[in-house]
Amino acid sequence: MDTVVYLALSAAGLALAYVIGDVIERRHYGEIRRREVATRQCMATTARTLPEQWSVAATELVTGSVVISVDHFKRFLAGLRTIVGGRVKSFESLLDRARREAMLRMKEEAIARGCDAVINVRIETSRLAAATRNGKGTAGVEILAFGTAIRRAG
Amino acid sequence: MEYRPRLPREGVNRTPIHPLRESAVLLGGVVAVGALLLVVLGIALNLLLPHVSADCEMRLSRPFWAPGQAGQQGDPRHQALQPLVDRLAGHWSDNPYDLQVGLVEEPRPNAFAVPGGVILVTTGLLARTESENEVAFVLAHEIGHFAARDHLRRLGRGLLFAWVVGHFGGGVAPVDLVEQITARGFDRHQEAAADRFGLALVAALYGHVAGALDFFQRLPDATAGAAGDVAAYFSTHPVTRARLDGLRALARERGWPLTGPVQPLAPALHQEAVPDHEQGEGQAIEGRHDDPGRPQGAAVVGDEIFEGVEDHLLPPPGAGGVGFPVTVPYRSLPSPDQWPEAA
Repeated sequence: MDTVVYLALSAAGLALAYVIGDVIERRHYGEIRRREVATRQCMATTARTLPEQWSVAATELVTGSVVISVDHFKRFLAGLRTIVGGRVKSFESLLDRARREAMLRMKEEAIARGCDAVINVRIETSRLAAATRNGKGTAGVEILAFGTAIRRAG
Repeated sequence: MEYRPRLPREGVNRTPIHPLRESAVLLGGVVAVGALLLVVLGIALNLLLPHVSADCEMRLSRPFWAPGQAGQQGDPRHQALQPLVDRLAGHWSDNPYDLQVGLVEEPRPNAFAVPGGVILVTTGLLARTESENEVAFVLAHEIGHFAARDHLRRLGRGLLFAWVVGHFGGGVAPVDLVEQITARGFDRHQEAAADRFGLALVAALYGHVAGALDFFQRLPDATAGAAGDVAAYFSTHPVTRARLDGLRALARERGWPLTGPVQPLAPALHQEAVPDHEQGEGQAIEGRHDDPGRPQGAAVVGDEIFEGVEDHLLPPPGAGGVGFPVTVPYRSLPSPDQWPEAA
């Protein structure tokens, strides 16, 4: 009986986590696409040098950073995945969202400062402190996008 | 150089698979492989068990059952139980075990066959028995588990299950759950086989099986729809009408008389049924539990003395006035000046 209750509670917890995570993810993707359209005119490139014909009025370092954590359902799915190996697909969408969000924040920062482009863009990921005492599990990762924002003259 | 401000393409860094589909595939696969492993290793276990000698089993497990822990040699109840076990075991011709009985202070009635030839009986079970024959059948039933080596099979399966789930479950399966499932009792067939063996032992000891099944017969009726304590016993020892009918049929088939003189419970064992708190509140319970005038032995088979088995049951802890007109005086903590000297 206890076992049944336990399994039912676990399943209910997972279902709840899935539903909430799914709603948040859909909303976030919608927002990301909208903002990507809005910021598409601000060029972001990994090139280290400027086009020769550009004349530069000002340069500035811009950063965009986001910290993400996994939800209960995605962690469960990833835990299952570690048994058989393979791509941890449940984390892919999470990191995809995080990278794009970091890039967007960087570009929005550049636009807010009146810049037209960001060059020499880099993306870095760092793991935050472990969430559990045994060192397993992740409190979250930080995705940092940074580059040199350029304001063109004339 | 030309720069075109294009939007990122979807599905490049994200595998387009529905998470529910992925979890169904993964979970199904892992459970299927785990179940297959359990079945295969379970068969291997059954092949292996006959090669584990009782000597080896006792050598390995006795260190965990030190005499003081399981034997309780000084306890009069143990002194009454052990000879009964010895007499029963004397009728098991090829008994490889040195069977020991131990008492567990536990109000819930239960009995266990523990690796190493140790039978554990709870005080709650003794409190609910009315004759030596009943106790003998409970003990003989557990001896039957030793004869079939059910206890080792259960231990082996428990370990297998814990290994498969703990190792293979990759941290997804909770440990508590594993413990719960592995703590379950023997299956129906094992219980039935132990019953038959036990009844045969009782028949060999007394020459009849009268009174042996009374304990099992009485409990379900007396506790219909109540008592969580007793429910716990049936979760590991399910008693069905079919099971009792089957045992009576077996007795008729083998020619074991269903009637005969029933042995009274040894006084030491019977004392247990009158716990100290009852003596203090004797007034309240008197009339329902008329111990002194009770004709022991002959009358325990009859039904009229059991107007309700609950009269003979220990009040469950905390059962203030529910079915029992007594407030159970709990043994209070000793005051600090009574505490033993700190070492």
